[in-house]
Amino acid sequence: MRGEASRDQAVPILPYLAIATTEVIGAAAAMTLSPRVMHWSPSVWLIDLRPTRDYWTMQAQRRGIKVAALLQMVWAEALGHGTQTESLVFASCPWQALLLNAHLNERSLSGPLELREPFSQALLRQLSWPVWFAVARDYAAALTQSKSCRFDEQRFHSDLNHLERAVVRLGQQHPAQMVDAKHQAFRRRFGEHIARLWQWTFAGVAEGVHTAATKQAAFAFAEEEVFASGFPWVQAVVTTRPGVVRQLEYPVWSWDQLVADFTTDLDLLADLPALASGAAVLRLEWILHLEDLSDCLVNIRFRHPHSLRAERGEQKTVLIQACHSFEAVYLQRSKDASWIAPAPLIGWSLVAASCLARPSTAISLFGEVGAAGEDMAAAMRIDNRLQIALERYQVTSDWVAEGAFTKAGAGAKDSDVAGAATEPAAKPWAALAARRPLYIYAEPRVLGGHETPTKAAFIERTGEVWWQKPEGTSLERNYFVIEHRSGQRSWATRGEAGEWWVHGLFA
Amino acid sequence: MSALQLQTLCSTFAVFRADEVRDHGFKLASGLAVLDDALAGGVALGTLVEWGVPLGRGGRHIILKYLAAANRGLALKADYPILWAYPDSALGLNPPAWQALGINLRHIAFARTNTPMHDLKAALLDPYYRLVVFDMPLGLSRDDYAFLARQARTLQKIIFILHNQLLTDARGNAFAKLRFNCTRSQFDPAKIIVTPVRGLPPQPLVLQLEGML
Repeated sequence: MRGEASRDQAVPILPYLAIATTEVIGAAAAMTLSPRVMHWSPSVWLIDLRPTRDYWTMQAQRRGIKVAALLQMVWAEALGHGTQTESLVFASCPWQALLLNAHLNERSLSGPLELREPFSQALLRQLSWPVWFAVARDYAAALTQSKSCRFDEQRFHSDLNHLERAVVRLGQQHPAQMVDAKHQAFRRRFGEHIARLWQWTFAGVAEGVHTAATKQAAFAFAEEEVFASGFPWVQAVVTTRPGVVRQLEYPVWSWDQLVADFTTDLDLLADLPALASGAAVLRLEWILHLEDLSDCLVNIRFRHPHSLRAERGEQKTVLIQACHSFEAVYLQRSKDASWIAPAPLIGWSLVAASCLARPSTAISLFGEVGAAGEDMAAAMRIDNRLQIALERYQVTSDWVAEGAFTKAGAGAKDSDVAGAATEPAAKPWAALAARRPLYIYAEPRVLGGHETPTKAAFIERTGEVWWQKPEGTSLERNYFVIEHRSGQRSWATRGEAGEWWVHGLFA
Repeated sequence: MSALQLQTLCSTFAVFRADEVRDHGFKLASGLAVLDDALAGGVALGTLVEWGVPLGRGGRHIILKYLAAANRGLALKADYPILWAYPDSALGLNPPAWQALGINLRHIAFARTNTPMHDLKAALLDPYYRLVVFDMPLGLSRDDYAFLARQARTLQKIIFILHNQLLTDARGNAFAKLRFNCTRSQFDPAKIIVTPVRGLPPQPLVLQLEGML
């Protein structure tokens, strides 16, 4: 058995969350978990967790609780007393989250649920057709609201009625009874949109097993923009975005000339009521007003939610990111228009375009306590200041070298990082790892004919992941330590023709 | 320890005697007795060290001993986060092997970049990462070395530069307090020979490492 269970513990929370509440809440409150939210129906919010997923994972890891449990706690605090959350459903695509959410409400159950858990998948398979149709009608309303030019609402409802009649005629109670039906068949009979909904319904969930192929399909959705996938995402907007405007007393051309005023404006922005309440920024829009009356947009992004108030008077993190963005946009623009003198800046607008609302009651929850908290805050601060994303890894119990690890968030606990490797079932893989190289190639490289190794010693025989490979692939790999004429030692396999394939390099 | 070695050490680390240094925890020990004794306890905080460690010759085992020691808080008396920068090429990391060699993956962050001085400047200016390793860096200039040495000194970091070729006296580096070449012994593959190029007398140090491939 490959370590599927361990691997699932290691992967981050699923990216889409559907939340049902008993009362109507505003967009600002909904942005407690992520700035990307959609008001699906009066009582249901859809939340795209991808911008803040690493942040929540780190927070949960530090507290030793599940991410879903932490998000439920934070959401409850954001709503305050009197408003109850009926359900929270995490899924790979928004459609699945909505379906399961509606199903939970129908059965008066509450979350949080993650669709990668067998219990949640079993619930999804018990989904009834009436619930599926009800959510599909909401989907049509959302598509109409998003003003999709290729959507014919009348035609959609006609196709949906057609499907309803077919379901009754076939005597089907649950969509899961037709799980084998191909979406191409749905497209032929019921049109493009219903086929798409059908394809999303069980993506990643097939007969209770997360098979490699369907899992890949489900997570492919998560990696894409929802707009590209055809899901009618309508971003909820807050009525006022906190911002400050600066009119310069004299035109400026360079970064050094504007730093002092820019820092002052960042402090002013931090003091605005919307941010003073503890909101953290994920993206700032810095609109430069040039003397030629044109505008130039500079986006300042952060990998983790950043508190402007925490760096009041200094604003080092923003200045580092702003300097790079300024150089990339304004100075590049000046270079592109090199045949004329670059237009100087005469002012700017600075807007907090993407914020994570943090309710005052949750501040204590986020307070950095002890050395571990300080470490995590420092790691996040540096992540926000760097030009490139740092990589952190955790080990999973898998015998294949290229699948034996996943990326982890900063601040992971020892048990998370080494957890899979310390459990008894993983000990053979840990022993294997000790005899493997520090660096590996993503794809093994064939050794040229003139580069015959001077020494070769067999070290391990590894089973191939044959079910994910094309037919005819060898079922196993025999690994050797080979030594080149230069004295360099590599980790290599032998091909069927006797050629050497170098897969890694030892320390 | 010879009188010459002691004299060299005293000139390098004039402030503390070797036993004082150990007691105060200002040095990072590798756990390899021969190397630690030669360095009077280990590599002092605030030091830029250059290593000539061609990939695949076993030299990185010594570097990983230092990293594992930093994770365990050996000598430093606290576990310190590590930043390891490596080139953006076809070669990727195999983290299970690092963990098997004693590295705590919780305390190490990796940066895949061909321009580490530009991309990682914020990390070098911040005291958080106390041990920074540049593996096979491309085109570090004299100014870059000066900057690294200054940051190591002012923020009490240890910075290792790992070159994919052996170091020579012909191209010196005044900013690195210590320079070593590491190669596998031709006669006993389980032994690594560390040859000081700068900072210690040039007598080779023979290190016995277990489990090395």
